Amino acid sequence: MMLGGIGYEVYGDSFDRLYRLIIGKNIPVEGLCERGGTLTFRLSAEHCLRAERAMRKLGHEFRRTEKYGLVRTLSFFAGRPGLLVGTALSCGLMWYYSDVILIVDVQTENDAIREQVMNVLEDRGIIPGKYIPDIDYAVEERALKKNIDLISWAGISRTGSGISVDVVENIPAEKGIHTGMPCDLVACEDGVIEKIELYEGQLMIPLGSGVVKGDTIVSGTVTTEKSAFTTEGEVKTSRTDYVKSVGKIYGTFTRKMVFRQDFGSMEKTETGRRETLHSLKVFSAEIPLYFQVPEGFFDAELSVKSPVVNGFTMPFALNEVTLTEFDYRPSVLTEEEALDMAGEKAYIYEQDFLKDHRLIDRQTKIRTDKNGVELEVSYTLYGLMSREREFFAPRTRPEEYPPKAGE
Amino acid sequence: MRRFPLLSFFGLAREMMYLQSYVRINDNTSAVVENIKRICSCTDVCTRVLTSSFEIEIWGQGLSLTSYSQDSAEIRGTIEQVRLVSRRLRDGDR
Repeated sequence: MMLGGIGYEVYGDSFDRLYRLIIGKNIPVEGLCERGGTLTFRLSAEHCLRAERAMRKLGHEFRRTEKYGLVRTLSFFAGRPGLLVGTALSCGLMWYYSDVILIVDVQTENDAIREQVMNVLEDRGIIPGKYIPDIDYAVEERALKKNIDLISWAGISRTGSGISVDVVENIPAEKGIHTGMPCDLVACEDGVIEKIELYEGQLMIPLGSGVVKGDTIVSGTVTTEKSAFTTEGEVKTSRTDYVKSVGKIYGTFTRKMVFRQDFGSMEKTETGRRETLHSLKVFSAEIPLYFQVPEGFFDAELSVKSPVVNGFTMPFALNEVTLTEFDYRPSVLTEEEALDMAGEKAYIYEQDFLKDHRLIDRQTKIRTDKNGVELEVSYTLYGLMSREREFFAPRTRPEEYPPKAGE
Repeated sequence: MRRFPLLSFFGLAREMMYLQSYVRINDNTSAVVENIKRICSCTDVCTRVLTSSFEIEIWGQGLSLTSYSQDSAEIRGTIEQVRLVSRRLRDGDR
């Protein structure tokens, strides 16, 4: 029964001779049953030809009623050559793609580095379709480190049918730390100084004072005066050092921002066209089930359908990307819509630029003209209000310095 | 009163050569009959098989015969009655 079997219906008046033949030739029938001149039984595939020959010899009419097991499976495939071809094709493709780069994954969140890594790899021929065993990982890693200044280390490893590039980014030095230029700390906002953290430099404006943008709060020009009394009277010596001012000045200040929204604008509108792209993901290999990506502007939404068996996610999935086409079309806004959009701009500004400050107060004024709406927002903020301003130290004249001991 | 010998010579020989009729019944769902010589009939209510010394009739419902090795068969279905007729008596009736 390894090959499965076939069910038979045999027609006749008497089956005595057939029974003898079954016993005599030791044909292993199953489910032998006679009902009203019809004998039914099942027979293993390997005995079918022998039994059919015997039944013909005995003059019985018969017909095959069912197939089961491997015979049924083979019959199923025999009538569907496309499945066989597809299975063979899939196996061939999987065998081929298992040693070919399908995906190059760069393990970084920095888009600039990702782009540079991809460019370097592309220049060196490491692109999807490249035969993976031909890649010398050490050589490629060296090339990445040599060509990309933004990274300090690169490692390439194979992941399924792709390669993963792991990089360590260079940590940029804080601005000013490594420059030898002396600098002042100047006010970058109009406000009142409320807190001073000073580590180096000469404080020029005391705590509680008001400053306007550009005022020097801490000077990098440090002048020290010494006086000594001699027989000739008081002798004053002064010395000027040029240092890099280090410190932070906090205070309360007001910032005014105007957000304008014209009534006429370009609006993002959906065209109604939707496309769905499918791809088959087997382990980390992603096999596209489409021929080309449609052209246009689309919002994409990815959904991954992966079967789960007993809590374990199977390593294959059907990815479905739903593309919704959109277009920018001119539109005329109402005053309310324009005001809403201006408010949205103000919100984005606050999220992007004011998150390091503490918002004390917020006043808004709305101005409307024939072309659009202006939203003027006055922020009262507390936070850092100084920035560095470098300057060139004048050439030092040796005579300005007193001679050192022993000279 | 007629006296029967415990075992005849042929009976002993058949027993030693395992040529007797062996019938094993499992509940009322199946019966295995060994040393079958012939299948007489096989309907869904009655299956008759011939062994070397008996004609074994198995009555029931939904019976079917499954032969899975030489000279032995399994009768499946709902067995209600098993009847053994000596071949000597059967041939004598004829």
